[in-house]
Amino acid sequence: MTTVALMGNPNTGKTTIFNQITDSYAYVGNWTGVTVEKKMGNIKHSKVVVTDLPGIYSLNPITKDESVAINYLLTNDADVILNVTNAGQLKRNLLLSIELLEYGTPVIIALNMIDDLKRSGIYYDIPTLSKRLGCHIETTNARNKDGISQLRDKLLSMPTDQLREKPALKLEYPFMVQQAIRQASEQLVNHFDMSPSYARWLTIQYINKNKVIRKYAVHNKLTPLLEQKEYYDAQNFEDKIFKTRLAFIDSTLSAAQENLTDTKNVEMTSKIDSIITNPILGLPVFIAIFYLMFKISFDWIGTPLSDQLNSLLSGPISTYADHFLASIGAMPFLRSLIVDGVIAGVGGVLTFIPQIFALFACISLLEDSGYMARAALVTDRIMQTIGLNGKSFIPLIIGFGCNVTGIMAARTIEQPKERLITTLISPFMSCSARLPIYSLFVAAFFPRNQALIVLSIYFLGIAVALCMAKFYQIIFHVEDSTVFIVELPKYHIPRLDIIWRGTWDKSKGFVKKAGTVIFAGTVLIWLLSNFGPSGFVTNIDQSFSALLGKMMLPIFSPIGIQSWETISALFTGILAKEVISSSMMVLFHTTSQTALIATFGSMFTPVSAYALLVFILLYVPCFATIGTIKSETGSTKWVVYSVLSSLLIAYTLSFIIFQIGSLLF
Amino acid sequence: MQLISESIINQHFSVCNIEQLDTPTKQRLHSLGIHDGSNLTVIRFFPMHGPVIIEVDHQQIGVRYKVFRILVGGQL
Repeated sequence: MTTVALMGNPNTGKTTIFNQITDSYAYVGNWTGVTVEKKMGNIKHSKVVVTDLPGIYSLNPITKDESVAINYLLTNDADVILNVTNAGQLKRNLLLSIELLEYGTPVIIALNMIDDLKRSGIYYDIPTLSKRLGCHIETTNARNKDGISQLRDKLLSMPTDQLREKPALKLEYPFMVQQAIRQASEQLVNHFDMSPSYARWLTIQYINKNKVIRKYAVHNKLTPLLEQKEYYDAQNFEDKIFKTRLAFIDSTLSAAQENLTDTKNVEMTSKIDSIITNPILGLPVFIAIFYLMFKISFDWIGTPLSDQLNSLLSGPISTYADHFLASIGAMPFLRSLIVDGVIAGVGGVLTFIPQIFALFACISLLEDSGYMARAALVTDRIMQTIGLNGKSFIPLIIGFGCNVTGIMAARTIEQPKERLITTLISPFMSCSARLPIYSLFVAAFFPRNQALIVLSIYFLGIAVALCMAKFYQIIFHVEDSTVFIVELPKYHIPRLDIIWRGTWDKSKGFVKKAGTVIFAGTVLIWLLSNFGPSGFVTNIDQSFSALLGKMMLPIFSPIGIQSWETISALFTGILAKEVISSSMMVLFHTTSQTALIATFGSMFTPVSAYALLVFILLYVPCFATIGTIKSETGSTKWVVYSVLSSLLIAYTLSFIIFQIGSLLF
Repeated sequence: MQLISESIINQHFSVCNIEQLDTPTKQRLHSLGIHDGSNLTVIRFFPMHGPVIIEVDHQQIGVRYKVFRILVGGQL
């Protein structure tokens, strides 16, 4: 079985190529750091496995995201490395290519976005490049699928065994560096049983102050390297290596460069950017784009479709199921479980699919077009005041979809403290799972201002997140950071297939959850509300969930919650936020949203409804998010802190809103 | 607040003082192919000393104002 590792700078189209050469699908976006973990797939109709690794600028990682690639090289043995490069920015892309070529595994370089290069009036002679770099080169334009089949054929026909014998790239480093590399790698070969090319690569990376390699050397007691550390650093070898590589690239590119007849190219990107990144218009445009996104998801497309789906599910489908079950003589117990439990609960959540799809389609569109990097830039100045940078904004926006992916996207942030703060404030971003319950309440209490009320909840979440970030900035003593370097990719005309795949990839988790967690949650709630200490109960007031809810009622009444059913539903929300609305359906014994909304009328006022929504926005993160915080921070302490602090904030804020609101209205 | 004159937009500078930057920033700029002596064009400033968009080797990147000041050194 052949394995291919896909590596390259961020934003070169690796994931697009991955999707086109493999059967399976991984998520693509037009901003740095979309691939948050490695993804694998098979090349169509073959056994060749392709691994898509996160984009890296060099093998020396600055972010957690980037360390995935170097760790892959240290622990896995790929047969071929497919190095995807942006042909228009070959100079800096080749800096990484050199590091990969020195590694010794056969490399194929894909010059992607070749059309952008041609448009700039430049072309490279491929045989010259190939000869100088000592590897095979293919040109591609992945967005239009140009050159993809040739690339796939090449990968399938690679005689990997023979290629292995080909020597790795050896640059002429200055004499002193060369000598240091030779001495250390000879000892590594003799005493540590390494292959010459691997030992040479490892030594170069060590000299180059690669943090992961330096730790690796300490861990494996690679004395030939450890003993020379001071010497390498004192001689500033790192800089000499960089200069040699740069000179090699310059000479290679000038030898291969061909000038095409001057093309009169109207720069779409700079025209769009004159508005999007305009110093004054930038921020209003940013707000307008997000307002539009919410309008589309809630008012224009999402909600009307949801309403239709709801009337279908609660009307014909549940009546038909009930009749069907009665006709086959199912027990009343089972009928109740299926109709009032499963169809009402799971179905109730499924009706929100149109809204969630619409929101994710908008996010995918922004990612694919290249807007997200601009958003990071436009918001940087504001984020700076709370000790974060514009890059934190992207994980937070992704958090609107799902906090789990948001927290994982925070891996691209360079400073550990900023990354931790972003992780801790991410759960305050109102994820799509919280939408169903908002929709239900705004339909009941604020029918005329649905989008506005939902938007206010979202903004409240952002405001709480920002305040907490400021608080953390002070207690963690975060200094004004400088590592904020954002690449602005060229705009792409969004492609429907890529957006659809992005939308589906983000939404499928929700659909999947409907079948698993939400299903289990609703069955659990149904059981708890139909069984009590005395066994099966016909009166829900004697059930376990009633007992539990009633016990907690005194704690929740100051924030406006007067019904134990709501409290029980909130508990199930910790499983997954989507479950809250389905639990309510079950607990209030209704099968349609309309009936539930009517029930709410007697239990909440608009003020207490709003206070409840605020509580739902902020209280404990769901299980999946808790798990991700644990894995990303590597500490239980932060998990406990995150749960307790959000509970406290949620209670305090909804208390204030309910008490003050009750006085005013 | 110091106002940045519109006149330096689209002006070319030669990158210098990369050594003065912190290690990660320097490393990232190097990886982007930016080094002492690179040609830098100013594209845009954001208000309140927000980020600056610069262009080097046909690629646009955004950097913090502080970093920009160091990179253009005494040329401003």
